[in-house]
Amino acid sequence: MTTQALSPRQRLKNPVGQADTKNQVLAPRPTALDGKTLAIVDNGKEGANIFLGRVQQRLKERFKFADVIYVRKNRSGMPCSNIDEVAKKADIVVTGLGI
Amino acid sequence: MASAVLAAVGFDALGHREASQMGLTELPIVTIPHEFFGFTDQQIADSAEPMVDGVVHALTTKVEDLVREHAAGPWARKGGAAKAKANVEELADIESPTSAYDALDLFYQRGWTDGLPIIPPTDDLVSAMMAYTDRSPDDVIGVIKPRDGKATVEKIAVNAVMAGCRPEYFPVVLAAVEAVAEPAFNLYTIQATTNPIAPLVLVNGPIAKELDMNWSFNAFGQGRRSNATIGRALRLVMMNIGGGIPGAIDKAIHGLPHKYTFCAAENEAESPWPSLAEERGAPKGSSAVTVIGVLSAQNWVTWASSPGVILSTAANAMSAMGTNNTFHGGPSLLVLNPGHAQILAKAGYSKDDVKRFMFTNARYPVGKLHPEEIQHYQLRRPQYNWGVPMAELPIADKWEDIFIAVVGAVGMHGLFMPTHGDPSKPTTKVIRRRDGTPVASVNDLRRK
Repeated sequence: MTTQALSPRQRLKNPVGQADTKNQVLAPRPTALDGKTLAIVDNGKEGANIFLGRVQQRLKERFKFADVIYVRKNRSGMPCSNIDEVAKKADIVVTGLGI
Repeated sequence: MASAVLAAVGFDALGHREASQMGLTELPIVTIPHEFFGFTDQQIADSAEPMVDGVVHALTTKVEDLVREHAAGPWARKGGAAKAKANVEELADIESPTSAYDALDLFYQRGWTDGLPIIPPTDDLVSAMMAYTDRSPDDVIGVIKPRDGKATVEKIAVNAVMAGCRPEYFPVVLAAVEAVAEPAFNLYTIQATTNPIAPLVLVNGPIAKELDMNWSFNAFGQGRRSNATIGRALRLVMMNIGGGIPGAIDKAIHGLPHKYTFCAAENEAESPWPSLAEERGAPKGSSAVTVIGVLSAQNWVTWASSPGVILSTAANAMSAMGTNNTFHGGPSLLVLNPGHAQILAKAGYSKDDVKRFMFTNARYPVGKLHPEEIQHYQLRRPQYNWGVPMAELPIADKWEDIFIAVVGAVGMHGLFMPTHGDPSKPTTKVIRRRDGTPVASVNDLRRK
């Protein structure tokens, strides 16, 4: 192993490296929310159900959804176990982070 | 599908970063200007009112307008060529200052250290580190959440040099990184949690002795270079490659010193039982690394030397209110010193017997839970007898989730290390050649 002191213009390696960035695009937004199926994904943290419950209530007052699917995770630190099933049924989704 | 993401202030950065990694840089995230700690239910509900317009906006605004809004907003980075240039600069190697001391400052300013001095990672030091693997420098050992950073052999070597590892430690570092990158380990939950979690790296097999690892007095403490730097290398990988930056992504409320480094070997020489790695399927005689995401350690101590008192003392320590295992169930780790392990083995207890004892006896009475907390426990552990006040919550949902390791010196002390519950599964990796055969020595991997 080298015992050389650092010298000017010696290269030091960057510890960060490339990220595995995925190429996705934002989903197109619907022109109207009436008639759509809304999913709400609650991460199970304290207060999330109260907060998202109020959001759901106000959205339902404004729009005539075909259906509303409310999912509450029982493990905040894990992905929603039935998210694929929810994604098949819903047109739009509201969720929270850290709440 | 079209989504609206609400994020409490402080967590919005995590959301924007994650969205960027998915190629969804312009994902509309509605920031709630506070968290809810200390709020009444009424206050929480009322705080949703001003957010509803933002949710509707996120769900109904045309994508091209969302993109324009993002570009004009606080989360936008420089666009186009300038953005590409900035990204390249962030990832480029750098010209060294004249002194190692100045290099330390430079790396610290860049956010690449854990706050302690690092060894400047020169080309020759990184090359020397990679001499102890038969993998290629560009081989991706794992993708590290939440940044989805590619942990190539070379980038891991850079962080291992910075941590102060000797090159012969590198096979253990690689195995530890591979283990935490396993989907079942769920590194994301450990990187971004409010809990003070660190992956404990437990090493089994002949490599532990070969690398002069500590498994006896002060095994989890300071003093042994291999213990100290292997654990540290993993943390630097998690920070630098994985993006686990305190505050922005790492939301640990307090953190704890074991987040700097947490690595030891099991005391196989004095243990009466099969090693942790062997229990988990490692071939006999091989060397392996097991990673467990733990919330530091609760010491317990008993003056007794009878098996029953040793077991019940441990069970009481493990069933405390307020641990994530009482809350979630899931895996946890009981660390026995070799003296206690030998007493139990002599009395006829196998490791599995001890685990079953803890499963049966390390329990918290439902009747002692405060009414304010019960709904949260019920949500997470719906399978238990909530209608029966005398019912008791076990710390795990099955006895096999209680892990045991024999570490430390003979004495009166044991340790209980709770985990985050079952979001993260302990993971074991055998140290192998590229062709999959287990190695007998680190020198089996050394490039000739």
